[in-house]
Amino acid sequence: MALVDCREATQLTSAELDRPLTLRERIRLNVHRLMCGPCRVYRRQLELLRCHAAKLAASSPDIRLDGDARDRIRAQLRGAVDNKRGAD
Amino acid sequence: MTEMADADEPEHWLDRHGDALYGYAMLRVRDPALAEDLVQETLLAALGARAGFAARSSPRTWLIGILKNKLVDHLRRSAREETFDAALIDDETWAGKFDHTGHWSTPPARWSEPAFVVENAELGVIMMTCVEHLPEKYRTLFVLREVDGMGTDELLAMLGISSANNLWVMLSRARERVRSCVERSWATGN
Repeated sequence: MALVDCREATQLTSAELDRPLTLRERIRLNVHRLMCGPCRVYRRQLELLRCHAAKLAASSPDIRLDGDARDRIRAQLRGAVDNKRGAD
Repeated sequence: MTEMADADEPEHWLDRHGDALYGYAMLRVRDPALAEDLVQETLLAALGARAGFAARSSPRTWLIGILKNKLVDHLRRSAREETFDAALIDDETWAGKFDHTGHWSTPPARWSEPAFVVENAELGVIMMTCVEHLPEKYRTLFVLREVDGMGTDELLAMLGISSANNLWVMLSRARERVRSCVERSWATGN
C-alpha cells in the first residue's frame, strides 16, 4: 500500500468533511498523520473553520441597505399593498 | 409592537429586517444590486404570503426562509448559464504549497492556542473577511456547504456540477483558500 504524501493527505482531510472515506483511504491517511504533525494541524484548522462557519449562519456581515435601494423597495412595497387593497 | 402589527405593516419588515436580509444575501452573492433585488423579491413574496405568517414565531426567521428560496432559485438559474466547473480551470490554490516530494513547503502554522478555542470571536471576524474575499464560485460553495451546511448531493444538483469529484476538489480549494487567508491575517494581527 503506497504511502500518502502531504498533498494527498490534505485532499483526503477535506474530503472527510464531505463524504465517508473508504477503509483503505482511512488507513492510509491515519498512518500518514501518525508521522506528520503539520497534517494533524491541518485537520484541526479545517475543523475549526467549520465550527466558526456554522456560527456565521446566525450572523450577517455588518452592512446596511443603501438609502436609495431602501426607498426603491419601500415604493415597490407600497405599490403592491395599494394594488392588493384595490383588488380586495 | 406585537407580531400581528408587524404582519400588518410590510414596510416595518423593511425597517426592522431589511439590513439583516441584505447582509444575508451579500454573504452569498457578491453583487449589491442583485442582493437588493433579492431583498425586494423577498418582501414582495412575503406580502403575498402574509396569511401564512401569523403562525410563525419569528418574522425574521420567516423572511430569511423566503430569501433562502429566492437565492436557491437564483443560483439554479445562473448555473444553467455558466457551470460551476469553470472554476476548476487555471487554479493556483495549491501553487507552491508542496515541494517536489509532495510534502509541505510551508507547513500550516500551529495557530496560537487561543485560536483553537471555538469561542474565539476574533477568528470568526477574520474568517468572515477571508470568505468575503474569495473568488465568487468558491465563496458560494464555501458558504452553502460550511455556513449553511447544505448537503453535497443538493449542491451538485443545484449548481449543475458535473461530478461529485469536481465538487470535492472545489471544496478542498475553497477551504484551503480560507485557511491560508486566516493564517496570514492571524500571523500579521498578532
